Amino acid sequence: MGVFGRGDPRESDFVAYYASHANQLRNTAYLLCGDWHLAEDLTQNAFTKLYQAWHRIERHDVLDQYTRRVLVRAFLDERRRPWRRERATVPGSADLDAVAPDQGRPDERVVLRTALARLPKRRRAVLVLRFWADLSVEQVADILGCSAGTVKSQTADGLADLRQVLGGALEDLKRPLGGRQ
Amino acid sequence: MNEIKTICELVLDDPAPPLRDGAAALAIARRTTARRNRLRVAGSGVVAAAVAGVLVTPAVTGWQAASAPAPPPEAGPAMETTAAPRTPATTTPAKPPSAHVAAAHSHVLAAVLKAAVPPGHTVTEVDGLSDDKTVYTRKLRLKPNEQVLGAYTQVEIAAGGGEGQLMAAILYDGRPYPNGDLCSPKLAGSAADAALPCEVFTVNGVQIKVTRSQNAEYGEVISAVRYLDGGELMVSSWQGIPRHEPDGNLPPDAVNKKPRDGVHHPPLADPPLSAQQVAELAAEPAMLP
Repeated sequence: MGVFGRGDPRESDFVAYYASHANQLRNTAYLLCGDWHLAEDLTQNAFTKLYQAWHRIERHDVLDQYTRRVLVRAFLDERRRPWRRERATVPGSADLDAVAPDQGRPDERVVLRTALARLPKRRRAVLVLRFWADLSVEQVADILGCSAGTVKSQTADGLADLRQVLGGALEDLKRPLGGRQ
Repeated sequence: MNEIKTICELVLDDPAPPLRDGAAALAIARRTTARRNRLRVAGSGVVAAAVAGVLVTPAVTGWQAASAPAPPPEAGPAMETTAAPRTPATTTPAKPPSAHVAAAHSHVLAAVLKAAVPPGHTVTEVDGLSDDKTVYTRKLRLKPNEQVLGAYTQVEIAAGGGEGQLMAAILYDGRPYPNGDLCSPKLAGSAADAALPCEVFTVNGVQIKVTRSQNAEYGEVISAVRYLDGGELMVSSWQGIPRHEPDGNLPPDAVNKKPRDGVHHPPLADPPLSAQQVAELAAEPAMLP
């Protein structure tokens, strides 16, 4: 049983909204969690919540903010999904992938992804939302359920953390993409 | 902060798997919504719930009335406890605690259950934990016999090659604290529940309804209910764990990423807790929201 009857025109609206926004939202999720499969789950979770709320939302100009808020909060509180059991994996388990062969210099993307992953979750979320999603301090504060001042301090702390993790590599990135060697 | 944007763009260069299409996303949203609606469980006043395919109510899993209930194992009372079968309530609390609770309370329930695991038993798994702090509004309108699962946890234990479990759940149904006989069939969620042997324990002035059932597969199940304002706290002790039955009616795109290994252990040699101990757990103030 859904919130709309099958064939309800609002379902077409929902599907159209998904088609136009899902990829962007999944990219945001991937930047937050660094795992495409989890990003897919977070995105689906956000759209499912949106589906359930769709008939209550009168101002559809707030949809983007709503879905981002659901996604980020689910990411920050991932353990809320009670079926996500965590089990220890013993060495040699078939669940483990084989060790990847050493290919010399690590992929730059892996380094950057790892650097992002090392930031505390909320700081990572603040940086991604502010500088990649181009949201204002107030919008980020709304999504995270905190004050604008907290967003500003988390931004500063996140940048400091990133500088510490990446060192000089961060300065290199200040040049535009096309200028990198 | 162009460098942050650059980092993000570089990270997103990582090849992504194909995005599911809108129709598939809509189908999943529909199914999830239907599952959520089913969680407003109709019926049974006793719940042994688990989540996402493991959600079980005793009624659903064939919790059967006891044909020959085993006597409870003896244990010295840790609290002032009396058992009075079919005795009308005499010490109703002036202001019963509320059943309004967030799922995050499951951590508290789990801690109390783990502390109650009898010596010689080991905890093998704790399930149902949630960090969701959402509390259902008191304006929630439920149909008669509908219940909403507030907080829930399940602690699986093992000893001597057998497995059992302790469970605790707080359910919201919007009904006021009951007056009169707690064993009244009117308070039972179903005819099967009403047929279970029932007695009322008084633990530190709190009245606890205790029912027992027995099943060849999972042995004795003792369930204690503490009625609250708007719902109940249910604690149960299972000598065994019901065998997991896979859902044979999965939608075509469903993928079971974690199939059960098929290993099913026999029940524990003895029920892990006595009726009195389960009643004491249900009366434990730390269990309350």
